[in-house]
Amino acid sequence: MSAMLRRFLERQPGPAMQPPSGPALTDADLKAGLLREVDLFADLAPAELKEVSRALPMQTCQVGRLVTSPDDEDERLYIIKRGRVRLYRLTPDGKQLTLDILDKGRIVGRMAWLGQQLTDAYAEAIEDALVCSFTPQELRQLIDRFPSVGVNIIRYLSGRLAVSEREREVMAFRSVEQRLAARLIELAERFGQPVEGGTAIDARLTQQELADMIGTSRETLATTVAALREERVLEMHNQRVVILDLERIRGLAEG
Amino acid sequence: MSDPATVAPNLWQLPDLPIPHDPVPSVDQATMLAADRIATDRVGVSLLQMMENAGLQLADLTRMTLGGTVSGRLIVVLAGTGNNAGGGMVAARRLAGWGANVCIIFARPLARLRPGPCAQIDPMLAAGVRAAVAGHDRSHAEIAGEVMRADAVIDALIGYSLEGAPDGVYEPLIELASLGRGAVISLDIPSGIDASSGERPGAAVNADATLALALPKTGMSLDEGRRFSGVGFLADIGLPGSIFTELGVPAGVWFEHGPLVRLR
Repeated sequence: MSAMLRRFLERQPGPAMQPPSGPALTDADLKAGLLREVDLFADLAPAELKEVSRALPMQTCQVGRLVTSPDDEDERLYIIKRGRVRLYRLTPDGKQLTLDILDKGRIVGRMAWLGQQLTDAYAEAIEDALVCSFTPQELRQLIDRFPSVGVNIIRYLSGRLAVSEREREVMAFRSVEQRLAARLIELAERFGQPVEGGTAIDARLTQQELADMIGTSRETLATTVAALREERVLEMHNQRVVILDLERIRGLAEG
Repeated sequence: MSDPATVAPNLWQLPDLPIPHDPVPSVDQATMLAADRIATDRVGVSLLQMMENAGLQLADLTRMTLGGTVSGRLIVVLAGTGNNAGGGMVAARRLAGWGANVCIIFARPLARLRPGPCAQIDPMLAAGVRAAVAGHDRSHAEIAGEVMRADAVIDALIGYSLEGAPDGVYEPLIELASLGRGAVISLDIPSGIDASSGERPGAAVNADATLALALPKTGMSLDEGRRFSGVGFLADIGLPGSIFTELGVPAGVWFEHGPLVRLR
């Protein structure tokens, strides 16, 4: 944070941290990398939360002031404890373009190893805001004290990874048939067993789970499987897949 | 917002495009949703391809409406958060590339955009489109000023997925859309009109023209939809006809004259 910004932010003791809560993140939130307080501090006991509050400095940020900007040099994340913050970027002609309005429990700022890299985003308090902040070093200390914070971070990051993988597959113009074939090859390599007439995959996957893995609906998956079954490419029953025509599946996956 | 280079006289006229020989069937919201799903999930026509086609035809209809060239003309695009907005964003980019002074007004902050339209933000800004979120980046008075001076207003707010009356964020933009003297062109179905029934549960854009995508929605010719749609046009967005045949829609050739045709 620049010295100028630091002057805007006045340090003061804040209220104790509440047990975090909030709705589940949507795919769009995960993709945008919108980390929330609850993602970090879920599962902490009230006494532990009190300790976290003590460890993290609390600052007020008056309306109209920047909480963080792309000019900030050091990596720091800010948890919004009170008030509202507007996230915006600048367009090529220098005008502000609003990305989001964030309130209590949302996190802004930059920290590479949490995947928070909104380097072109400014965060401006649009109501007097109370924020607490931490550096990578401070977060590491928190993880040392409270390993569940580390587990929460892994959970959050793997959620983001899954969404971005699915997104990439969809954006890469791959059909459901191709995505299914690619996933089956992967599963066959891990769980495949040679049986008469083909390769069996005993991964105990329901159609819904398989559909989720390749980012489609169960109905679409069922139609795709039915077509492949018709062509004697695979069999699927009782959560068990038998690949009858491995060459064909491989061809589709690479297609 | 910056002033346009020239204040153009709001002159426009809808183009006299050919009408397809085969009768053009209409589809309801559920059928169109199913067709989009089949296209992306099974046939392998991606959402981005359809969006690019929709936006290009929308830009071309706007260009023809403004007399064949858009250079220096002011065009305002009103955008929501869904794929309809994505089409509007593509049109904004293309029109800016053709020399128009394009301003896009979003109803909501950009983090609310779905992934398809989200991918359109950077290319659109790179093309020189001026962008703002209503109520956050520009006041309603500033936005009204742009709409009143615009040669054309493109409505890409809601599209075929309207459920119930448009909410408080969309309503002021919907009411504003038709207040100027420029041509008002809705993408797919005027925002506020139910794509299946043509009912108008709340505010709706009163369009001079509606550019339907792939096939017209039934709501365009029913109830209030008939009055609010203006002149109907149809854009080829590259969906294979077999998708509609599979869904029980009568087959036909609708684009023998080109990717943009007029509806009867």
